[in-house]
Amino acid sequence: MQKVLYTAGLLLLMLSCDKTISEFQAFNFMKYFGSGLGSSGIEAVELPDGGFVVTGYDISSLMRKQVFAARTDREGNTVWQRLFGTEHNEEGRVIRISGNDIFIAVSKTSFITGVTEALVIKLNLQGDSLASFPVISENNIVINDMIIDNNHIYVAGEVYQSAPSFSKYLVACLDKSGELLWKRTTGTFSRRQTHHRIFLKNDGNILLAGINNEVIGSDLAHISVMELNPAGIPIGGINLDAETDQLFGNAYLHGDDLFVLHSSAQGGGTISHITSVPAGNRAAWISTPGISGAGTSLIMTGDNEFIATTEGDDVVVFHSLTVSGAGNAEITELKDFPGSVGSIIYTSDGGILATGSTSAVYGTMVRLIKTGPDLYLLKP
Amino acid sequence: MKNLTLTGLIIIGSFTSAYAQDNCTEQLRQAERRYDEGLLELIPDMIRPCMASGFTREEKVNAYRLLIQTHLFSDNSEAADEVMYRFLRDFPEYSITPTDPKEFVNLYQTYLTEPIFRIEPYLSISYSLPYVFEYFGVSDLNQNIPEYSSNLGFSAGANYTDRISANIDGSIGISLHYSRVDYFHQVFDYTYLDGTYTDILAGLPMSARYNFSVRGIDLFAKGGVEAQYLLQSGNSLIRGFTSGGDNIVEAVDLTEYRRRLDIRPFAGIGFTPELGNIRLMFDTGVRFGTIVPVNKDLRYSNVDLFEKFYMIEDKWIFNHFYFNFTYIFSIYKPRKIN
Repeated sequence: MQKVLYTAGLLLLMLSCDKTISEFQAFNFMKYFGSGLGSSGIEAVELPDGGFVVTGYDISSLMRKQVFAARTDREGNTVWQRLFGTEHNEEGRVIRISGNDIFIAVSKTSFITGVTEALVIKLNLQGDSLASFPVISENNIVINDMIIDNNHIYVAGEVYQSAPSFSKYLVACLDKSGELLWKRTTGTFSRRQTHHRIFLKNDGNILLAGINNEVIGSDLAHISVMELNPAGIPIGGINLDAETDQLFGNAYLHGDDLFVLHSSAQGGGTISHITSVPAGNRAAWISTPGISGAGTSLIMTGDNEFIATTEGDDVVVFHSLTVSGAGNAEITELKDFPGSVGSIIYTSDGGILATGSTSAVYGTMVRLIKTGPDLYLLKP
Repeated sequence: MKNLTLTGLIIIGSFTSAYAQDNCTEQLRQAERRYDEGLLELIPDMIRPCMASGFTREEKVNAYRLLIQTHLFSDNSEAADEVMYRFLRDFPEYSITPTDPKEFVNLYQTYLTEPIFRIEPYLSISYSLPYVFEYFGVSDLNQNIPEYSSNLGFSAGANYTDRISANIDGSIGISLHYSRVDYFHQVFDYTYLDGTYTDILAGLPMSARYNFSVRGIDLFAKGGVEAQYLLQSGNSLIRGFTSGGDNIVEAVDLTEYRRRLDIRPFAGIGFTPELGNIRLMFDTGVRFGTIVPVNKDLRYSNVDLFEKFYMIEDKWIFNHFYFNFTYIFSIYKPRKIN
């Protein structure tokens, strides 16, 4: 009888043991962060240890936006999460890693005057704020993208006077302490011109992709691609042909080839295409047929193979595309999720990480979707 | 008037029956005296009229034994066999007592008196024992994991049982299980999830039972496996908010996200008391799950679950501690074997 009791005791002990997290969750996870009051994830980067740092914004008790940043381990579990900001509306728009420093480009909008400023905050890997500096000491600056090399911070976006829909291109270079080395604003304030993405090419030149609504001889918004030398001097640029107003979705630089995801209103809906712009030349191909929905993020997964997301009706859809040299696209619709995805990055394990937000219907939170090379979580 | 007539008939009937029984009781006493006096030839005629309805159950057993003894001592073994056969047909569950005469016992032992099989319907209460192999979920699993807690469930079923060897019975049956496990997860500071998993399963249990006796108590140890098929699985979920607000309440059907088949080993111990002619069985044990029911390929497919309830199902099995109450129907077919 004693033996039976001992066995039962051992069994109960086994049943109460702590459990581990398997390797599967290092490849595949879905994690939420934030207060649930309107948190939103914009972008994430991978750390050398396989973890991630994500930025976006959360809503404070005063119902104002605060910069949200969180570090996770490789399984997506929280290492730390922080809010940064003042009494104004502030959101993290871009996040980059340089050595042991985390740089977040922040958009700050005064809740009194509505004036927008652009800042960069610098954190260490423990999430402590090390520094904060304005990108340019001017108002009405919006930073859409940022890249960092060994010594410089390059930012791209727009500057406007009275309303964001009347803006000029902005690109600037700072050193890592925040001192402005050069800035370039081009265009007029009569319509909208903005850089959405900035890339560093292998030759050190800067490649910018965005929207130009001031193309001579056209009333339409065109996708613009501009190349600058490292000193910020323009050395080339094109505006892609357009038959309707184009919306910039995202862009991906592979070698010196740029691929731009853009969308336009067609037939009562929104259709997205990928346009290949090799080495600053004119468009080589436009993917056909288009993808239903407004494109939001894009990465290249192989030779002319892409994953793109489109959004519509509070649902984000992942698509896999294989595009031939002539632009003929074989499109596979992967999984859809309620909510949104702001960006996708490649991860060192060959998988991808999508940063975005859950649907507002049940409480908006920052959401990370990580899947392995087999795209396990994206299988329909 | 009709009621009065009916009541009268019942009263008269009762008196008649009581009189007949008293008379037969006296007849049996007389017959036993004649047996003691050696007047064996008178006994069958004295007893026979009462065999159909005049005796109590105990008297009838005694009457059969007396008749058998009478025939055995009259060297009429054919008649003794015929009465023994009728006796075993009327009282198949009879077991030899120390007061039974040796000749009676010898004849009894020339018959197959064991039941040819048993039908054992049972009711069962169970207590779920959830075991989590791995937690999944949208929140920080290093700080915050769901709590699973036991809840009562119920089962019903029936077994066909046959003797395999002297002390071992084998059985096969059918069963239906209703199982519950409570779930709670403080997913984030501002929201929590409360629910109860409910499964309905059909099963085909197969077991072997080793019977033994300790201090006159019939005990057994049982082991077996049960193939179970999940008929329905769900979780009645409530997502609540710590700062108030309307809860999100829904009974989520999870059946399509489950692996439906499980093979569950079980082991237990019990005893088989006899209350008069009623044979019961009480046993207790543990039934183990072996196959994780959550289909891993569909873990991230239930959009409602992760979007509305912030839940991704963990990798678990639900074991069960059970207590069975069984009524044993023994089916006899007595026949001469020697």
